[in-house]
Amino acid sequence: MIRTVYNLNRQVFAVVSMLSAVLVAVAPQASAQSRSDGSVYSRYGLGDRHNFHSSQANAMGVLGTGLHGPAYLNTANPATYADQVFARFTAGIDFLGFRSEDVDGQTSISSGGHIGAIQLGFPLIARKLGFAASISPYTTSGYHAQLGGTLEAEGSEPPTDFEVNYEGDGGLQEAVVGFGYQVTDKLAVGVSASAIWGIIEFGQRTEYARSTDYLLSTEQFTSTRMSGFSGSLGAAFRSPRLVGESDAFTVGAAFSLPVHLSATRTNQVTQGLVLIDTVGSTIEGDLTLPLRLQAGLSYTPSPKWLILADGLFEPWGGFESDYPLLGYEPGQEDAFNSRLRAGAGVQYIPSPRDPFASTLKRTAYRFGLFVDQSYVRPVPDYDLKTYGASTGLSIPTVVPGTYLDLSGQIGFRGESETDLVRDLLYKFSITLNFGERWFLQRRLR
Amino acid sequence: MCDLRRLLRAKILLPILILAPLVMGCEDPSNVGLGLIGESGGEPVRITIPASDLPPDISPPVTSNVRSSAGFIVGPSTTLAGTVADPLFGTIDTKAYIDVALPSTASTSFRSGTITSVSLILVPNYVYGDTMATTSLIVSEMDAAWPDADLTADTTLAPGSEVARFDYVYRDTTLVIALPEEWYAARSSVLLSSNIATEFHGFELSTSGPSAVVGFNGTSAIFRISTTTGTGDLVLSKIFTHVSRHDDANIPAGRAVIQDGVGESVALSFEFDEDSLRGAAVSRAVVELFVDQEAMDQVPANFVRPTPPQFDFVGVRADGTSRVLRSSLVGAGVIRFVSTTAVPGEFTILRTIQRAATGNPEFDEYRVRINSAQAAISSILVFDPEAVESTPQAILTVTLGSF
Repeated sequence: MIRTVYNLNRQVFAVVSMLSAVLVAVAPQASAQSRSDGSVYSRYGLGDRHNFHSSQANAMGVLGTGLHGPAYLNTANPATYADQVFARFTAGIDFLGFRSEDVDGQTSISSGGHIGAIQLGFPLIARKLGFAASISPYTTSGYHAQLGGTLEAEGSEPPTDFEVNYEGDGGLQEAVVGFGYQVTDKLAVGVSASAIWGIIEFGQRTEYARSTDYLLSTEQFTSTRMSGFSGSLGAAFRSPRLVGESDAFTVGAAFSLPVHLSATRTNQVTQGLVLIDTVGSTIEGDLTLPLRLQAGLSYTPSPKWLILADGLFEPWGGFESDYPLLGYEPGQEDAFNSRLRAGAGVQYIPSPRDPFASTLKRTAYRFGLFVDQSYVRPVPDYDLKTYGASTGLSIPTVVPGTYLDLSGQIGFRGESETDLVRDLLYKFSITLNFGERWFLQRRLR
Repeated sequence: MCDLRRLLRAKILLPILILAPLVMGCEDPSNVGLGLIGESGGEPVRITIPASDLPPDISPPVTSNVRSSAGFIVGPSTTLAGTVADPLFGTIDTKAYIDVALPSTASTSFRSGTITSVSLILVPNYVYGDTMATTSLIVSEMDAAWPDADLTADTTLAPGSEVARFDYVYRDTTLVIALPEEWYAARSSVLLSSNIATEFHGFELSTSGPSAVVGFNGTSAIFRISTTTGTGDLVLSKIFTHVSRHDDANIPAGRAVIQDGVGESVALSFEFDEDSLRGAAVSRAVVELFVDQEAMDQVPANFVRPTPPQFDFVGVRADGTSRVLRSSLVGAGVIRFVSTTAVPGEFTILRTIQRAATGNPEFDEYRVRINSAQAAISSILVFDPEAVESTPQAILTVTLGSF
């Protein structure tokens, strides 16, 4: 028995080590290569906003602000860092796809893989004081649109065919470190500090057919490098045996400070795709991201069932930037919309406490619904909303506390009217949640 | 799926499966959503930017030159003499100054004889004015040495002493000016001296009244001294043309003059850094000035008004330094400067405009002037920015920025 557990641990450790090594190895390339695989809506503002805090909540369509338990590391609320038993390492990969359709029925399809969140947490005092750190996408911008046409003759100027490619790439990442403390049996509080940084790049490449007329192909490139810091406070209140003997009710809330980003923008125009002659400028500036409020609750009627609901509010109407962004001019008030997100989901485990049950019975089955109102307004007075559904499985491994989570999301965003497009978005995530008792001496079982 | 233990044993299979989405992906770009990206829809467009008027610039060109052993290679090789009364551009006076020297290969046997004749042999290569009118051509001897250094056309030299005066009607054939006997007889020792280059200071050629300005080829001009023992052909060692303009031009309103010799250029300002061009990529640039051909075509009988051969589009910095950005011929009533392929590090009209559009303008103003490799006083009349129509403009083919 000792040997078996030792071997299994060694195998899992080997897999996680390899996975980590490969992630570390491919991360720079993955972030450096062009990732024009999203919707044109990600061209607005700082790109599509993301919130991934745990694979469990993700599969249930929620953030997890009110999810308080030791089974998963949950960065939605720093108060939940208090309740940890295992040292946890979580790493995930997302496959994201978009199918966009405009008013004329034309469609574009794009998809690609991304590294998701990487999280690490461990208890300093089991179920009393815990530490957690994570890196996850904050925003992403990625799209590729193409336009072909003819520039008609005008005066002495000859006609010429052209093709313009519009591409966006990059985004902001958020790194969080924090502590959670169980103040009483029911109340936990937490605090975290976060760094937000990243580069968002936009490119526009124009190519002409008649280079003999000295029509130079050009490329316009704007790169904005940003970085800043923020902090969050959170609280979670858990009330066991609220109605029955085995139920539990948790309510949680988290508040994140506005983020001041220092930035450098480089505007670059390249004349000639072969004979390069580049002129450009670099501008220093600042941006201020809004505060974030989250609140949520969870109810566990029995160990088999978990019901979650939460919401998020970000007042982007007060967003400030020294740089123009698509949908925003410096000094413009209320250019952006308030971001609102609400979700609710349910989890079912047929045999949560029977270690000898089959894998299917120990697997968690999750489903959820969400609606997300984006902070960008692609056209005035238009609220860009995403309606979506999530589902997922959490497959237990032979290592206690380690799960392989598979989840999928599907949603619709926008509408195919006038200049708007309707996005069908789909996402498939694989997340390995590795749990292990660190700092504890192994004993005979 | 249930036999996870076997998968774990594989060690490699699971990471590969998990990481597979990273390398998966597809892309089928189209014009879906382009209306969301930019107000212009992101299409290339042509933008016409009218020029703003600036006070004309007058920068007299260098019209002097010193002969090297190979001739007048760099700089003007022509010198002008005469006065033209143009009904449009007014009266312009020119005076030619020439100095002589023996070429190193010339025979010196003629020095031992007695001078029998001295003549100036000049080959015309330029004319501006009434080609049938008769005027008095005056040949004066320069009494003092005059500078070798670069002299601009507005430089005034001390007048010489008149040697001869005779009637002159322009012909495109070689002009032989025989100098009077009393003059060369009085200077025989100087003219036959081996130090003639330092002891003799050359001639001034001018006219007494308006008819035409004639240009003479300095390279083929000869100062011939014939003696009883031989002939010495002296070449020109240096040349200079003085140009002065009277204030009697009849320039219509809304027109500007580009004039060589005097050095008048059209000064223009273009708002290449205007907001509408923010972030734009410039693929082609054309700057056009339209010639008032109707006014230019109105010339008296027998009057020749040469068209300037070439024009320069010049960028001028705040400190006064300048660079030629593009040269152009005049054709079909328009002076058109068309951008060329950009070469890294080279100043071109396209790069200049692109820099301005990116918010880094290098030049404060632009000038259109005559490319004056040769001394000339050719002029052209163009519509200026105050004209009702046909004003100077820049036509840019650009892809606008998305913000």
